[in-house]
Amino acid sequence: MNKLSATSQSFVDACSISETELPWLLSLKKCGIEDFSKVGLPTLRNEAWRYTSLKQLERLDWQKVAEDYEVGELSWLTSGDSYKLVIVNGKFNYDLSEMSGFPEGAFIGSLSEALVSHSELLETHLGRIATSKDGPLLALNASHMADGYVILLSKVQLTKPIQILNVGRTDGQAIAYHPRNLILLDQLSRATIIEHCTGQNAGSYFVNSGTEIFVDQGSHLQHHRIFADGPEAIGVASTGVRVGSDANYTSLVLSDGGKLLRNDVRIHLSASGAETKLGGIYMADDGQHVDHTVLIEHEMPHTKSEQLFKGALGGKARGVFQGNINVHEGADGSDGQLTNKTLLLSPGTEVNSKPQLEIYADDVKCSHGSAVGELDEEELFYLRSRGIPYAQAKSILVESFLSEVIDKFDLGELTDTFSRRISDWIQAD
Amino acid sequence: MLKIKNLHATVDGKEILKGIDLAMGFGEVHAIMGPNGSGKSTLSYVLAGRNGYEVTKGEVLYNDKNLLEMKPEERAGEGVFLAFQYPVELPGVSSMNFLKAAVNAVRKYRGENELDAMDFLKFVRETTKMLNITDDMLKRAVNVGFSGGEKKRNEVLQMAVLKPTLSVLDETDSGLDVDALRIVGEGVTALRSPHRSMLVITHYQRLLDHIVPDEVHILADGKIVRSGGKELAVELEQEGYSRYTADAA
Ligand SMILES: Nc1ncnc2c1ncn2[C@@H]1O[C@H](COP(=O)(O)OP(=O)(O)OP(=O)(O)O)[C@@H](O)[C@H]1O
Ligand SMILES: [Mg+2]
Repeated sequence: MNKLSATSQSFVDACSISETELPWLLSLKKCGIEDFSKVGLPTLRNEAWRYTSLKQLERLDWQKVAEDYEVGELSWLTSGDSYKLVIVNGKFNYDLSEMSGFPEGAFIGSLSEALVSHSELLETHLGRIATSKDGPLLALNASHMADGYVILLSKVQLTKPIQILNVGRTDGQAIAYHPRNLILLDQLSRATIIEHCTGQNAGSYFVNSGTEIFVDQGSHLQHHRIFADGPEAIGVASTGVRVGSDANYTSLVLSDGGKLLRNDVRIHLSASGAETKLGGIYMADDGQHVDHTVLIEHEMPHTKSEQLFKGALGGKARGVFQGNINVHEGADGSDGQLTNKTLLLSPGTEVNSKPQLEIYADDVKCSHGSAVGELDEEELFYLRSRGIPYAQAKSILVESFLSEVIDKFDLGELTDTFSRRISDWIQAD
Repeated sequence: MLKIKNLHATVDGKEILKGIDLAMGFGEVHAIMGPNGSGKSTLSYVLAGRNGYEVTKGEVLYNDKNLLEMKPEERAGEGVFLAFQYPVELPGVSSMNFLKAAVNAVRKYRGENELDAMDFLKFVRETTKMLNITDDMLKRAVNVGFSGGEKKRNEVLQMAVLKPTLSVLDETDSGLDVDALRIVGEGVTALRSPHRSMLVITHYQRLLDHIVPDEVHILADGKIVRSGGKELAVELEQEGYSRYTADAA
């Protein structure tokens, strides 16, 4: 076994494992510790982490989250009628959440509650699609598995969206936490989940989340996320999704916050007719590092994936996009489309864009493309020649570039929320 | 209102304009004709302030101000408008928002109040009707997927709403069918007024049937080699440029 770095060792030491826990949960955690302890935090030598360094984690002394905390104003993404979940530093807060009227037979609540009330379902799903073998961060997450949100729907079509507010709140000390979430949609269920990750008090926190999502048998999930963590936050969000027969997972992700963000998504299209549509908008400024890593596994015939990721980088921001589409043997007639475009707004910016296709099936329709560029001089001049000042001309072009992603999604009242995020970022840039 | 004196300009280190002199008064229409590659579009870009077009000698006075010192957006605010030979496509920017941003930017520059969405719509509708521009075109992204003729009509629409005092029309008649040519001709003629001047770059007499020029200039190899009245355009269309290109060479 390698010798772990001090930070890696401190994360291992922070695990609290009690032999009285559910046996399967205990073994999940132990596996997590074991897998993480083998390698510790990833370095640039780890192929999946070639462009994103977590070295800055080694500089701080990360503490466990305190039991008591205060929380400031809650910033909801939409004011419309919705179920509301509040999670502060990875801990589900029942006092602040609003879940009344949630359909009979369905479950919405904390992981710790679900472990008691739905332990069988959790046993068959937790750690199954985002596993400790998928990388050290997920292993670390598994070893700390304690709280997060759980949503279980079977034959339920929700009429209101669920908003989830993940607050990172610091009171002086740098804190680290590892929430584990689970979403299960089965038998023609439908839901819209809107997740907002945000920081309060602007201190350092390391949030290493693991989210498992199962969308089975004709179910549809719209899962839109805004990553807007605090300026000193380091966020790694690992999401594993399994899409079943004739089911659909649609997700638009916007990131504009944090010091470092790694959004790691793996989607398994595991039955015929499974589809996914992903959109990404990333905006980063001086000192920020943003990494979107997406892996799509076309495991069965006639599965479909479509992705459009666009970003704008200013200041000395770094961007990383790794997009892999794997079409497995026998997954004939699959369709996978992937486009990544990045706009570099200033000379110090840098982007690594690596779209990749691996195809082992027949009759497959796949394409991937990547482009990196600056604003078009001719377009800028055209706007300016019509009297539009340089700064405004630039804004118009950046906004239209990024908004293309929004236009591909049917977001209803969220459209404005996402559009405003873009224009606010541009104004502040 | 416009005085171009001994204007020399280079693009990528290559001299394209080699000493242009031209003076226009208020309300005048001047036509510039000349063979391909003679520098007509280059002149129009220099007047509009495009990057990369370096003036190496000479000056341009516009209403007694040094035009060459101004940014492109300031020139537009001061009333200079260029109808592009090849209008630029702006994917994702709706024509309506683009027009509104332009009109309000120019109004702001000129110390006028900005128009709200309703007032703006009313204001634009009057012009779109005259130019036969559909609401559908206004909803689409600027020039994206527009036909050649639609792009040119869109340029005239922008000109009409920005109310320039100096319009440079760079081959606005190219690629237009007979009806569109008439519409554009009427549109441009409607903008003629005693304080508005126009510099019309064209290869054909036909637009000049609609907008009768006060003077016609022949540009060959970066210089004005001959100037005359409107009959010069007729003569050119019949005889071509061969004697001027020979002269200039
Ligand atoms: N970036 C450039 N580098 C070098 N030469 C250039 C560049 N841009 C334009 N030119 C040259 O400048 C000359 C004048 O071009 P310009 O577009 O002004 O001609 P024009 O008179 O408008 O022609 P047309 O009637 O075809 O529109 C041409 O020979 C052209 O090739
Ligand atoms: Mg030309």
